[in-house]
Amino acid sequence: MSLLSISTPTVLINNISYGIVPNSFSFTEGFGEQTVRAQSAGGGSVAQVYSDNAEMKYSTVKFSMFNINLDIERIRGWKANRNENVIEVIDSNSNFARTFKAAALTGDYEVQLSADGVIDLEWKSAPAQ
Amino acid sequence: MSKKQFEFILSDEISYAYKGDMKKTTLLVLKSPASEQGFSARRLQQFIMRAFKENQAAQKIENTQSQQSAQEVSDQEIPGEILLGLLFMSDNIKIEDVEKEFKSLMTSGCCFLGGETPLTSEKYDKISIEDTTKLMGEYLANFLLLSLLSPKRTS
Repeated sequence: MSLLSISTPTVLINNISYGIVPNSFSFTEGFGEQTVRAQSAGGGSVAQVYSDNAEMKYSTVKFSMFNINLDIERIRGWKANRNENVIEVIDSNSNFARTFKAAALTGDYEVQLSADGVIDLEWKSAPAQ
Repeated sequence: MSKKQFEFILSDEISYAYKGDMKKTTLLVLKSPASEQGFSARRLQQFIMRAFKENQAAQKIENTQSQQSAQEVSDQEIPGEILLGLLFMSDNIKIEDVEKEFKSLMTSGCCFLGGETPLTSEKYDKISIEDTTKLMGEYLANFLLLSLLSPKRTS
């Protein structure tokens, strides 16, 4: 089996695929943060205490799009949808797929109106599935 | 009066995004084309008419149907399979052109997944070939053929 890195995924937002700036897609799985602390058990012995921080159990999805007029309007629509967006990222060559439900564009994204302008989007969503 | 929509059940479930969640359904709700979809709808009607013209047997069906009033033409009497057969057998019609127009029509606001969100090109591609073939026959027969065969109004 050949090993391939994934660099050109298909990105679907609300059932429609969109072109993105190459190599701009990244995400977190949304496992949150876990900590391990040592508890004294007496007599010099210790036991490990594992904690799961639920505050961080969300995914972050980041990618950039070019400043195409149609996309600027679409992005505005996604922002207006609040957290009623779904992002699917698929790589059919490697059977890779993740779905991010309840995705919201949290930041006030910047639209660059220039020849080499891109729009950086940062989403927060339910943990990846 | 011709119907405005009908339901089609897929043989396999299809997943789709709706209001921030993923759902699965086998239900498609098909609506009659509006002026917005006029280009694709008329192209498909043109294909149907060409196929009819080519086929003498089909011409007989058309004549029989044309004599009936709009009220008498029921869904069961419209032969979706026959219509598809005519299109597939036609020497002058490229079936890929028919499929291309049909996909364009289906993804332009005539078809709704689970009856709630429009079918997109990406989701259309996930439907099995058997289902899209049946769907095409049903849709062409129910809406496009029916409107061609409806009696003309006289002033």
